[in-house]
Amino acid sequence: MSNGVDTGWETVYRDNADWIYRLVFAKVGNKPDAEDLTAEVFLAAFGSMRTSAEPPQIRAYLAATARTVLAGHWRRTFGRQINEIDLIALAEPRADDIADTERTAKRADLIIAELPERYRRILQLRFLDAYSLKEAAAELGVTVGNAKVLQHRALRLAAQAAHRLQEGSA
Amino acid sequence: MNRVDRYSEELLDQRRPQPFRATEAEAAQLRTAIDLIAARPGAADPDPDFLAALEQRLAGAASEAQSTDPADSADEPASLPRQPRFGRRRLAITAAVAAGAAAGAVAVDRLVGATGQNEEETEPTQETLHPDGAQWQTVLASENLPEGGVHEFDLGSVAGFVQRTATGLRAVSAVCTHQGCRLQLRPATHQLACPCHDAVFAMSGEIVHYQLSVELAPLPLIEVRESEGAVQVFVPR
Repeated sequence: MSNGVDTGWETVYRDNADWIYRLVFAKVGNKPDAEDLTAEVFLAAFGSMRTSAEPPQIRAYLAATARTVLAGHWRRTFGRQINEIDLIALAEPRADDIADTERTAKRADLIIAELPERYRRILQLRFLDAYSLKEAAAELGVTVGNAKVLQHRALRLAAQAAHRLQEGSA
Repeated sequence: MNRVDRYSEELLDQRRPQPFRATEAEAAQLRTAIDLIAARPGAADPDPDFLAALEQRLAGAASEAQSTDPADSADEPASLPRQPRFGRRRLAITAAVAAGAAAGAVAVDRLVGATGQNEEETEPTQETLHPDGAQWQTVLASENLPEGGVHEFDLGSVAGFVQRTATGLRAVSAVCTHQGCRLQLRPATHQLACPCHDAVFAMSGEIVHYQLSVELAPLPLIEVRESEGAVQVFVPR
């Protein structure tokens, strides 16, 4: 009945857990949610997936499951889609993890490069360099209150910049 | 502190963000905050402890699925070591159930969306093909249609697409309900696109997108079943 290439779900899991987690993390940006959603993807997929399928089919199936799981997460938490998993981009010749990481970094760079110096600095320090608010304020030579306001405005401007970049590339 | 600021702090501390109903402008800021934090070096690396724990959890789910599978123990010795067979066994379940569920979902959507009293008469509804003198015809071998897979078929009288989903098989016509052009499968999204006027259908037959001024009917469903290792559809000879 089986065509003899079924390597079992352990192999499927070990081959795919890392990239599924990274994919989900890139969309939610925090560890607790990324872990929960990754678990949800595998529990859902393994209930219905034929583990003897070819690796590309398995990857496509897991990606489609992740897309659905993410969409459900956004609906539940914010009542709207914050972002989505692009299955068409994923189906293109597979970029390795390094390239994916670089793409994410490049995108962040492009966004903050659009901002005036002080706004750029606060986002760089807090989001990319993991400075606390207090440390970032000290680095910039401002009060904690000022740093807070700066960060608030910087994110708002960054969102506008990201929107412009999106429009430009579309 | 507004709620976007609070969300930023939660992300920066890698805590689970609290839910709220976001406006579009807030959503854009959340999206950007995520894009920035995802670029933090090493942030996206999975925790090895988490990966190991999830593997354990899946192993538990797998052995449970195996032990609660009554048909397995009925015809095979229980001592035979075997891989868990997640949903591998597909008995001759006709897709009537899945088709019924899909049609039901469409009907509910319509009901929810309906406001006028004559809506029901003017709205195109989804039908299932019941051709006179039809018979079950094999489309392909079961093992060639994996979970999530879509297969296009053309049996002369009827062309369609059959898909194996988590809940079973389903099949729809491959002909656009607008002017009869032949739909093309988009492999990545499993959507069916019409080359004539850019209408796009889901594999359920529902309309995903179209820019026409006329109402389009969903794609007709085709009855499908699995019998003796073959996927079969109910179509005219």
